[in-house]
Amino acid sequence: MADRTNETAPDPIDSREISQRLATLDQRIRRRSVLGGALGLAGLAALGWQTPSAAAGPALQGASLPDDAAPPDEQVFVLPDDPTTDKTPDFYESVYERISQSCFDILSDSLVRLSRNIEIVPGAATKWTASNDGQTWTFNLDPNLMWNDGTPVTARDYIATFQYGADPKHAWDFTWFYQGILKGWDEAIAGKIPLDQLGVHQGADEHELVFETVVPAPYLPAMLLYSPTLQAAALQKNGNGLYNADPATSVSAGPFKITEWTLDQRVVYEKNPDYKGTLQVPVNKVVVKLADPKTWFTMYQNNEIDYMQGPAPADIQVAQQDFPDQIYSGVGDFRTWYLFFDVTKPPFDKLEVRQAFSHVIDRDAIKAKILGPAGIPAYSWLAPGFPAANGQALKSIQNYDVAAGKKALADAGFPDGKGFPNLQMWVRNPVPLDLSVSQALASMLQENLGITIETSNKDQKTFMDALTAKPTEILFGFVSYGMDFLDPFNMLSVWLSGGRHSWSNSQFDDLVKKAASFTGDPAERTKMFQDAEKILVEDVPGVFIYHATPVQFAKPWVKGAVLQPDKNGIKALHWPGYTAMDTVPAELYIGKDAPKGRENM
Amino acid sequence: MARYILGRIGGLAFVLVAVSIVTFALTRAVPGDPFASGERQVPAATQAARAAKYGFDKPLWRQYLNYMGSALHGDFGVPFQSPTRTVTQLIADTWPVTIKIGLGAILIAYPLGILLGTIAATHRNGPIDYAVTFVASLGLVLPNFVVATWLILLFAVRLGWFPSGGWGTPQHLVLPILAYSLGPMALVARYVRTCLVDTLDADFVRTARAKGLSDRRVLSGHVARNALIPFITVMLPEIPNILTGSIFIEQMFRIPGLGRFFVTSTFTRDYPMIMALVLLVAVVWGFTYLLTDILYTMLDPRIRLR
Repeated sequence: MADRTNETAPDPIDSREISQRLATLDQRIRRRSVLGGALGLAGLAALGWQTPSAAAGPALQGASLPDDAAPPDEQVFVLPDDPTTDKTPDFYESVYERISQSCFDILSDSLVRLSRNIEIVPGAATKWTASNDGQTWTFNLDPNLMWNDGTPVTARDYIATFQYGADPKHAWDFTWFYQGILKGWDEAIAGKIPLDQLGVHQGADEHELVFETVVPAPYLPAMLLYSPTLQAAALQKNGNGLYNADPATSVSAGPFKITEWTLDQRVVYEKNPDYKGTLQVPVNKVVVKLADPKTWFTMYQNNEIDYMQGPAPADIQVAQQDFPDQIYSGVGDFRTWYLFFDVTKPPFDKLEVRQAFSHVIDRDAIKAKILGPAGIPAYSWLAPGFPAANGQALKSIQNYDVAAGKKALADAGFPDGKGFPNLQMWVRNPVPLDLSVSQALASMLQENLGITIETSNKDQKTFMDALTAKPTEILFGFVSYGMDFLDPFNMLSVWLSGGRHSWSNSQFDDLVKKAASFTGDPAERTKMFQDAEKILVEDVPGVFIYHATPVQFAKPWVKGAVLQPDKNGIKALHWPGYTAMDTVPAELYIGKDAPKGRENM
Repeated sequence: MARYILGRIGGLAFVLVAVSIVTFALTRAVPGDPFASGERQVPAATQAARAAKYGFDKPLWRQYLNYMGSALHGDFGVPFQSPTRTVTQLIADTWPVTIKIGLGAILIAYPLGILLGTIAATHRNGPIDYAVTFVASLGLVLPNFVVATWLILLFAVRLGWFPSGGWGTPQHLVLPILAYSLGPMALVARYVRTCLVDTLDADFVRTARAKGLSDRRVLSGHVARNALIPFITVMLPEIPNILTGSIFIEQMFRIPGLGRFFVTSTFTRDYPMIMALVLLVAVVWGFTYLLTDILYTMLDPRIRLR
């Protein structure tokens, strides 16, 4: 049965409220940037490359249960995941085919974590320092960390993990991530140097880990959010990183250990009694039910799961009627959805055509009619709240102005759309929300510009193969990108020449690269990124449609600070989710109002 | 007969080779790198490493021969979707689940369909016939995922009598088998009715009745046997369809069966799994048709297999 509504409660997902919260976050981050501490990252420069203060980290130790918590044997958190990506629980085995929507990367600690307030805080590394040139980074590992086979976690484990990522025999699906950044990485993935020459090595002792970069990389600590380690001994014994997909061979240094992995049914994690790290978790067991995402909402309604994300618009409508107090909306991975063009081919080689497209999309209507709580209008690339975001200042460039759009198209030689070729808009593996938005976009372009556009839905592999082909095989499409790490360099690098799209602008490239390695005043670095984004928005290689604010449902008995407003006022289980890459697991517990018999779920 | 059967099995081997060549060529012709799921372009060095790792750097004919060479030794490779087990292990793990649901559906659909079709035929153009026809038409036009949705909403979400999905207890079997059996049951009922009606009008039935045989004797001794041949021709080949699973039923009820792999293998460009599934289906169909032909000779002595 659906849960009853609290009809007097304010709508927790009111769009204006979300916009306000994001604006607040945006202002706070900008203010902090100016003060020299943006998200503990750009601030590293001003602070002499030191770790953010210990006070920036969460108070994680001693996760005793609060009074309103269910008893320990009922502390079971149940959530769904997609079985088509259940190859591994580990990042360094596969990024795109690992469990990634439920409980993942939790069998060891990342060097750093994201806090609930979206800040980089210590994880497996208790502190880190950088050399004066910003190219040598030393991380001090928590000496308490142990594998549950009784051996200590050392720099050797992290080194072996990075070497495994770079090993051509592994052919990892995320090798691009450290390209041009980690010393020796490009050569190692090409098999040109031995893996032991990679710029990741032990420091003064086995708890000191050193990274060398080819350029000053003030963003490296943020990047190392993606550093949950595999065990060197297990890697050597098994020959690959798949050992954690089998409880019999799995070994954990994280807050949980895997106790069951039943194909296409479920993965069970139980609290690791040998865990000595800082992410102390109240929940005793996590059950991941592997099920097609289309069935999640029914499972949620039927109390078979406690939490889900990514509901379809129709599901959100039902939830708004039946259980509005269980709907949460956060910033996710600061994802931006956008139209993109192959600017090397007609008609999109003309700036006026691209400008015309940018002016005739009524984002407010899309927000009101389709997105609801799932997104806010976008007129620029960096989402509100993301470091260096500058949405308000850039809003007028791609604003909704149908007359200006028509004029731009006429200036390009296509008055009222006459002579404009019929277009196909490629859409990547669309879920219902994407289908609705893409059809609305096609309709607005047709209606306002007098051109003919049909949408063409492609599966993920066909789309990405064509998008990233050189030269690209997609003339016009609709897609999204979300952050990998909390730095403007990451998001803006998507548009660097030779990257995801065919657009090339040397001024933009220079600014982004210069800012990325800039180790001076953080405010100056932010300004460079903002100048680069302005070029991006003005040259319109993409028309920015909306910033995703992903919707989640959580049962009333899912409790803890994690679903309370953070200091930016955002109330949601933050990205990446229930993982040791962030502090979510330490801040979530099951309330005593949960249905009984949870230990058998 | 033995020579005929051996000949048919030999013919099936040729069919399998032809199917494997066509499938292999089609999988490679479909655009989309099996590993192109990332957000950014994979570095050329990693693309080359992947190609070497999976043998994609060799000419297509060499890749095919390597595959077939391994397959003949029972090695169908490792599925890209689930690399901790072999293709053979994955099918061995999942197919029994699908067969369990499929057999359940057959055990409900066929007897019930035959019963309803017989009742309809013997009460031709009467209210019972119309009622059966209505139910059968409903079963034919309603896709099983619609039926599944209704069953889940009613019996799982509203009444809470059964779980909405999952696997492991007898309760998990009820709703998927019901949803899965409605379509085949309707099909069986319609064919049985049609076959019986045609046979009931035949001259030999009139003769049998003229001899003074009871309706029951006429139906069981003369009509049913003759009506079975067209029925078997159409309905026996339905069985492989049922036993190889329904993507909709398995996904909606979260059944860890083989059905979903027919779809996900295509979307994920899981070449080893696609090849194995197509060959599996070809074998099952080949043997089903062989069985059908053998059954013909048992039902009608005039038919000879050569």
